[in-house]
Amino acid sequence: MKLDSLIRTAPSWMSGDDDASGIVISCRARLARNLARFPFASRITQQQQQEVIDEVLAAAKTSRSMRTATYFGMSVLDGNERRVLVERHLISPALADEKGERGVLFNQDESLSVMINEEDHLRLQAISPGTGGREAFAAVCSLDDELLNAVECAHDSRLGFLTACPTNTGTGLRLSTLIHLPALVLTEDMERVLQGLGQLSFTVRGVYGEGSNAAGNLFQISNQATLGPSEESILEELIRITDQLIEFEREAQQSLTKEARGQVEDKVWRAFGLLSHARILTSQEFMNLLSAVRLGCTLGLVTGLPSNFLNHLMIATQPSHLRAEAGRSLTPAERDLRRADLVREKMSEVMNS
Amino acid sequence: MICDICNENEATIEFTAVAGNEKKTLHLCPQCSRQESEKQADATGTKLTPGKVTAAKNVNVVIGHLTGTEAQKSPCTGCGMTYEEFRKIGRLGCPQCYEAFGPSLRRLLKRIHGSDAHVGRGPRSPEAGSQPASGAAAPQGLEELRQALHAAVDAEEYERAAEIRDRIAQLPGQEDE
Repeated sequence: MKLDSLIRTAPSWMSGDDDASGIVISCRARLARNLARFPFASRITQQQQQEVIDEVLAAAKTSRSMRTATYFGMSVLDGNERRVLVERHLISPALADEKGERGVLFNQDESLSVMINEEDHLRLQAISPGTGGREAFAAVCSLDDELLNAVECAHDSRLGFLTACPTNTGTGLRLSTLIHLPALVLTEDMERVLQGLGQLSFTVRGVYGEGSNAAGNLFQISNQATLGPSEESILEELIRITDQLIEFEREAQQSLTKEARGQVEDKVWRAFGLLSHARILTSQEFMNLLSAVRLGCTLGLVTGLPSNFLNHLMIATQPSHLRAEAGRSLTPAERDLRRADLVREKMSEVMNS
Repeated sequence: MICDICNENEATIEFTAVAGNEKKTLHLCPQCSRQESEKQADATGTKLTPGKVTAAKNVNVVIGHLTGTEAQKSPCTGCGMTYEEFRKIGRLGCPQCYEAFGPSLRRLLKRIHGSDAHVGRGPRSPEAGSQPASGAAAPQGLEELRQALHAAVDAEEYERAAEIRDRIAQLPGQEDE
C-alpha cells in the first residue's frame, strides 16, 4: 500500500457503527509491551531496534489479524508523510520525530496498529467508532494474545507488564474516549466536570494526545493508573464515566435549548453557512465551526451530515493531509484557502447525495 | 522482602507515614524500624498513633516525614543505569531495572498508581483477558497477605486490616512477631 492512497480516503473504521448522538467520536485502547531480551528505548542500539522490528514483523505474519497488514518504517517516510500518520492517529508524534529504527504496522481499515520502537518496543492500538470502548478493548486484547504467543514479553509476576516508563507498568493499558462536549463548555460547567474526573484518576487531553489543546470542544478522557486496577475494571470505569459525561452533556444541551434556543440555532446555522461557503478557514476556526455544526446534528437541527462524515473532515483538513493532497508544501495562507475549498466541496457533495 | 533502609536484613515491619496528603510506606527490618521510630519521635514529638496501630500489630503508623531513605546506589546489572539517571530521564533502561531499583521503584509505582501489585492479564494467557480481576481471590501466602494488609491500611480499611493481621498471625512461624 502506498501512503498516497490513504490520504484521499477516510480511515474505514470510521464508517462502522458510530454513536448516533454524535457525542462520542471514537474509543481507543492501547497496550504497552516490551520484548524481554532487549533494553528499553533509552538503552537500545540501532541493531537491536532492527532485531525488535524483525521479530515483531515475523510474529505479525503468523497472526490472523495482522497477516496482511501494512508496515512503514519511519526511515522511508518524509516528515510530511509521518505527520499524515500522526493525523490519522496511527502513530504518535514521538514515533514520528525520534531517531533510530522505528515503524508502524497497521491493518486495512486502520483500526488496529502496532508502533514498533516507540517509548516501548510495542504499542498495540485498537480504535473503534463512537462508544465502541468494549470493541476496541476486545480487539487490542486479541491482537495482544496473537503477538504474545510468538514473542517473549517483559513481565513480572508481581508488577505485571514491564514498561520503559513507570506510569505504564502493570496492565500497560491506556483506554480513551474522544468526546464532544460543546454544551458543557458553553454553560461553563466543564471546569467542574474536569475536577471530578481528576478525583477519579482519569485525565483529560486534547485530540492529539499529550500537550495538545482541546480544539473544537473535543476532549480525550483516559485512565491514569495502570497498576492495581485490572483491565476490565479500567474499561468499566471509563464506560461509566463516558456515559455520565454523555448524560451531563445532554442535560446541558437541554438547558441551553430551553433558555437560548434562538441563539443556539443561530450559532449552528451560521457555522453551517460558513463551512458551506467560506473561502478561507484557519484550522482553529474550522474546528470551532465543525463543533457548532456537530452540536446542530446532535440536537437534530441539522440533518444529512453523518457524524463519520464530520470525523473524516476533521482528519482531511489537517495540515499534513492538505499538503499531501496538494503534492507540495503550502504556506499557512495557502493551506487556509485549500482547507476552505476542501470543506466546501465535501459539504456540497454530502448535502446533494 | 529486604529492608528499605539497610537493604540487607529481611523486612518484617511496615511503616506507613503520613505527610500532608501524601502517604509513604517503608518495609523495614526490626533494627531499622526501632531506629526510625525513635528518630520520628525525636523529630516530630509525635508518638505512634494508637488508633491506627490497632490495625495490625506489625504495622505502625507514624505521622511526619520519613527522611533519609537512601536511594538505590548500585546500577542495574542489565543495562548499567543508575537510579539517579532514571530519576533524571524518567525512563528505565531495561526490564531488569525493575529488579535492580526494587524498593525505591516500588515506592514510586505506589505513588503514581496507588498500588504496587498488578491485577489482570499476564503473558500467553488468552483466557485471562475475559476473566474478572484475579485480585478478587482471597490472599493466601505470607507475602500476599502482607500486600493485602498493606493495601487495607492504605485504604484505611482497618477492620479488614485487622482480619488479615489475624490471618498472618495464624500462619506457621508467625507467632513470635
